Amino acid sequence: MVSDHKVRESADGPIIKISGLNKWFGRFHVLRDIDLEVAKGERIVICGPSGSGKSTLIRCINRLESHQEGRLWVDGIELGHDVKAIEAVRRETGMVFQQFNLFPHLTILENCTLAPIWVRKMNRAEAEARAMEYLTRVRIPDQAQKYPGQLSGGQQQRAAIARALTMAPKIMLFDEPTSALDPEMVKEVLDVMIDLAGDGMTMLVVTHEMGFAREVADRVVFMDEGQIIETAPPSEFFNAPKHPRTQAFLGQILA
Amino acid sequence: MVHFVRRQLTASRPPPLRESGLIGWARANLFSDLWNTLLTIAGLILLALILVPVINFTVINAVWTGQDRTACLAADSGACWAFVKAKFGQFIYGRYPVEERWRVDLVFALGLLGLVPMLVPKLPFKKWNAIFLLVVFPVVAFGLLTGRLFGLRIVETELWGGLLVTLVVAVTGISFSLPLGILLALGRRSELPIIKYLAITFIEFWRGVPLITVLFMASVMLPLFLPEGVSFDKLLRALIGVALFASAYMAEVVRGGLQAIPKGQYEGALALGLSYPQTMALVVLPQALTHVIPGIVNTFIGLFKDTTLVLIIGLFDLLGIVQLGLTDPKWSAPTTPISGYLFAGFVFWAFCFAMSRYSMFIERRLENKRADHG
Repeated sequence: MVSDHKVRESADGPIIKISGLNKWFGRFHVLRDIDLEVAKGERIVICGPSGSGKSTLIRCINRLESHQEGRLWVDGIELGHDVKAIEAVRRETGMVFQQFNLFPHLTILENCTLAPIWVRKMNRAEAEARAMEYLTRVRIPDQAQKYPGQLSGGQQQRAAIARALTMAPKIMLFDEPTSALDPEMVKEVLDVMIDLAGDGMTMLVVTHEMGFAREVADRVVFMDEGQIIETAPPSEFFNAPKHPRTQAFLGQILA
Repeated sequence: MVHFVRRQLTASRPPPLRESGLIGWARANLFSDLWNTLLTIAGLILLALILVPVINFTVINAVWTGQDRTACLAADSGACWAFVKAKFGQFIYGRYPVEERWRVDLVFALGLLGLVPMLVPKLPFKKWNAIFLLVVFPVVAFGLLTGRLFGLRIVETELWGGLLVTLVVAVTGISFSLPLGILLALGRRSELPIIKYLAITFIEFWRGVPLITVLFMASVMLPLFLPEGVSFDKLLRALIGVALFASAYMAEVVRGGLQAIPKGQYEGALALGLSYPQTMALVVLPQALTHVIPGIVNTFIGLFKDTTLVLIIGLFDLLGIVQLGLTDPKWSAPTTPISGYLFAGFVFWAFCFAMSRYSMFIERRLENKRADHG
């Protein structure tokens, strides 16, 4: 399925490899024969109509969803029922959710130091210094002592990005990070993501922000009915989509 | 007006002052119109009709001193506090030997010493305080009360009674029911069928039987199943029964809290690489338990009052010992029973009310801390 697009060459192979992946929710066949390889440092935008399985796909990559058929490797570790392997993959994979999922009982700083302290066994002072570094990077160092409920949506999402980054992940997964935001806050979050992309972070982004896809993505993956319909670099994808479904989708959202 | 363009922006100003002060408040709330005024007056009359006789009985006409029943026999005499005073030691310690009562006092004092700083959020050293309260105190209290440590004289639990038994049962029940209840609630939501059904069976069994039955079984039936010569303490059996019983209720309260936590919280924690126990302990439970503080305290209060049921197996808690005291012919007077029950009722009420107020204080504190200021 990706055969007509060359995966970026990399010395140590793809960082994510998905082959023949199938998943069902009850009787609903949500992911069908997914094959995808992601090279280290590659930035992929996944788009498609709602219900096409794009969120489910990236949630399989850190095993928030389990797959029933096919195989899936992340950073050389195969994901299956082995809890240790799952935890190892999650340590190296940051995820940003549509609903932020910050912990409301902890301050922003505590949100950002929780995993480094408990998972990476970092000491508190070091974890806090590092958290402040990332909070500065997402431009909310002054919010560190507040609770999530006291921040705006855009600030919360940037805090969530900082929280994921404090684990120094190799891969960042974004599941519709701007869909729950008021329009005036979308840009501040996208700016942080663009900044991150400039650093060479491997990113998989499920989004409807086509401007972001155009500017940042190495490849755009278009999904419909649980399958990958087309993948192409953004220039080709937006200017010369090949599959009729892609054309119809782009016709609707870019109209 | 189809077109409108504001020429001058309105500056923010403080809200208008309401009628303030006590008189203003009373006028607004109690005497706002004729109907309201009538209701207020009727309410005041009703209050006076109740309060005056109560105060007369408990304070003004009450008998405060006396050696025996003759002091309380006068026709117009109120509550016989002399009786409570004379029996006070028994009400607190039961039949605990008088010369050893300092041990009970010491345990009460140590308990307060550990508990009060724990309950005041501002005070430091919470970790050491918790270690003292949860590890050191139980061992020391056990040693002092039974006399099995520190080379003291052994005092059989048969002799314990009064407030001492009430507090021992309540405190043990409270401190075991919460952790056990949490484990049961987590078990009930587990995806592993064996753990899940064990938890469900346990909870439904203990919720399904009355506490009296549990205590009765523990005291009468259990010894039948134990091998000859093996027996264990009656108080201990009651403690276990009460703790297991309360933990089943606690489990359902905690489960209610767990269900209120959105799936995204679990996912947020797991996605960071936290293990299942870490996710539960650091992210889910702190939130779930805060949601159900009223339910937890409600269970504590219920448990505290249920301790009176240990009377059924021959243990004399505060209420039991008061009732026992009433049978003393030396104090047989018309007002002694009501005085005894008023005293017992007041002590129970004071403990339960304190728990209730403390839980409200903590709730408000947590609310303020995480307030949504937008």
